[in-house]
Amino acid sequence: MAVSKLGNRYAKSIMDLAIEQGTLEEVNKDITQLKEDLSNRELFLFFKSPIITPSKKLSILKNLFEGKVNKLTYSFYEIIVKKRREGHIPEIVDAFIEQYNVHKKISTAVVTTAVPINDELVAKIKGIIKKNKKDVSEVEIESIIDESILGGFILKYDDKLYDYSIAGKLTNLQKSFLVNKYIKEM
Amino acid sequence: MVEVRAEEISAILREQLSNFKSASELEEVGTVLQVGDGIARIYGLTNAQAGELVEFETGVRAIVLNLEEDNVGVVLMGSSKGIKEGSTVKRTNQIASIPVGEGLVGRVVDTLGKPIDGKGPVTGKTYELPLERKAPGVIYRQPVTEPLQTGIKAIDAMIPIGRGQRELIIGDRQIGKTAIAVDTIINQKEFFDKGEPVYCIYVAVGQKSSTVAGVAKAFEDAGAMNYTVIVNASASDPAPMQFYAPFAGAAIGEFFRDTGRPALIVYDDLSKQAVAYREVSLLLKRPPGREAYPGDVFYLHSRLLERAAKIIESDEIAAQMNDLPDALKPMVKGGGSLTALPIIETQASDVSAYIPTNVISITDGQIFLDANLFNSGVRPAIDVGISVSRVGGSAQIKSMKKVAGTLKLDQAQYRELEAFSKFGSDLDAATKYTLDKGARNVEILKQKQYSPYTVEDQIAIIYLGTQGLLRDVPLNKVKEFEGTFLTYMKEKHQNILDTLKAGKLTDEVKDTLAKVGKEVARQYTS
Repeated sequence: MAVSKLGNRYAKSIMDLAIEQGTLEEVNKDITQLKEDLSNRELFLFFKSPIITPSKKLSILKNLFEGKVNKLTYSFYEIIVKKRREGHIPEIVDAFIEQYNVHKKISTAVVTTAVPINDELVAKIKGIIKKNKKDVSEVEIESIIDESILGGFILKYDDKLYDYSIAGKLTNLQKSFLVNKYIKEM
Repeated sequence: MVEVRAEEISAILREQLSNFKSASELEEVGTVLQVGDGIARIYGLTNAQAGELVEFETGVRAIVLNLEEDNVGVVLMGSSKGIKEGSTVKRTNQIASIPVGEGLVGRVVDTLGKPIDGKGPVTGKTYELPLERKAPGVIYRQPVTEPLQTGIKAIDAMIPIGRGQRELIIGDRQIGKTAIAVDTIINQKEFFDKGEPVYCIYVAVGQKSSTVAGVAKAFEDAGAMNYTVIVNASASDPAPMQFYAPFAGAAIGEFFRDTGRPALIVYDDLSKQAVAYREVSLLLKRPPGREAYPGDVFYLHSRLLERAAKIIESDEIAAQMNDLPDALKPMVKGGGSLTALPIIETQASDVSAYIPTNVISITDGQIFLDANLFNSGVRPAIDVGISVSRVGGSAQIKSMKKVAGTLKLDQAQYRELEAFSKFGSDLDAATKYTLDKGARNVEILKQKQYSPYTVEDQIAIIYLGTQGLLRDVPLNKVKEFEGTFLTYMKEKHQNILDTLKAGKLTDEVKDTLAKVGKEVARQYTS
């Protein structure tokens, strides 16, 4: 997940303040909720739109969130809009979730398989990651089912990737035949 | 395309299949944020090192050049086709390097060492040598003493080049810069035949593929491919391939240098390399400086040319050389050398542009080619007045030094008088003598392309010129006289030529040269 400098700055400010005020869990819940809400394309475009004036955005924001979210979260949203950075909300949200995970020592991993995996396997993968990575208290596994990998699995966490998929092996095989040194290229 | 036999194909396939590893390993990956103009910005790759090779899903490789706070800037060494935002990039844990070995000789390769001449994989053992390597330190070097014969009379006599030297060839387009370099490589055949080859590397940067094909053919026709490697990054290759090509060439040269053998490398040309580097730098948003070149363009050339060196004779000291790649360590020998002939193209003879002044100050001298001389038929069009070799004098054989010692001054004097003589017709005898001699020496120094002279032939003919023995030969007959004289010498007085080659200039040699010269001159006197 790509995180920008700007997103990091905003996310850090609310993280620090929330920890100070002891409302981190609530703020996290709100922001995670916002991430889900953002999958609504209209809301997403509403934030992005340069045509809607900030004052209008603020009043819509008030209707949408006031009273429903933590006070800190609400004022955070307000600041973002006042600074005219509402178009960057998705990045800020992503950055916050990442920083929250680092703070809580939660490691997220993505497992891609061709067929659904059972809980036993998930537990095993969690075990492997915990063993490989120091300083992890919890592992969250996101499971993606993708038939195009044909078989096997791809495990990705942080910057690490284990590609045990059939499709990956076939691509590697194909790549080793891409270069034909018997063809003149000049 | 070479005709490929059926069993050959299946053999290759089987080999490739048997090498194929099906086990996966842990990969460190990143995600493409942005790609375009031959560069990509990657999120992730937190452990990537500067200069490391990374690989995209499409198999295209890239070199890490910028490590920033939140992203990594890489330059693509191939097409960006198929790479999009969100694509995965993986580390290779390998600093940009090139596989070098004896099997490379006679081949044409690209910047990453992939053969592009269609003759199949490089045979024999290869060693991974890094493209970027620090030049040997002071204690591992020794002064330049042996000559590197170019086979070009004007250069070997007046601007001698020594093994381990860096001599710049500079001039406008289309006046024979490449020709000098190519002739020099062809002239090394003499040493190859003798069993003491000078390995040659010709690095073509940003040139038309047709030009490179022409050069390759010239080498092949002259039998020079037996000791030559061509590194080609043509104008159609991505800019990073172009600016790394000289470094790849230098890595190949260092292989020969550090195993105790003499090597010669031609960078054709460094102005195009600087342009390619400027392109990449601007795209990576590095601040532009003079002529929009980045601030470190001087360092780009100085670190490259500093790798040309004459290595100390002692094997023990040479073995402790700094920054030796592990692969090379067991085979290091002293006494090797890497001579560099960088080429710079000027615009309208402007040597005070940024890149020319930089490279002039880095190298140990320059051969300046002049468009006016070229057009007036003096070929090679070397301007003797401003061409120098800062270390070459000690790298001339004794006989040549004695014979050609005054030639450079004489010619400078001649050029000055020539300008004056255009005004009046009444000249005193001394002036006339200088003019006559100078004009004949100019004729002597003219030379056809692809026809290098052995050092003894050069000394013999230059001796006649400097002694004024051609006085009676008409100007337009000098070339003809030269041919006859040298044939005669070879037939009747081979021993004299051998003495000259051995570096001796005895009275007997002088007398014979004068005698034969006068005899042959008589045939041409009208």
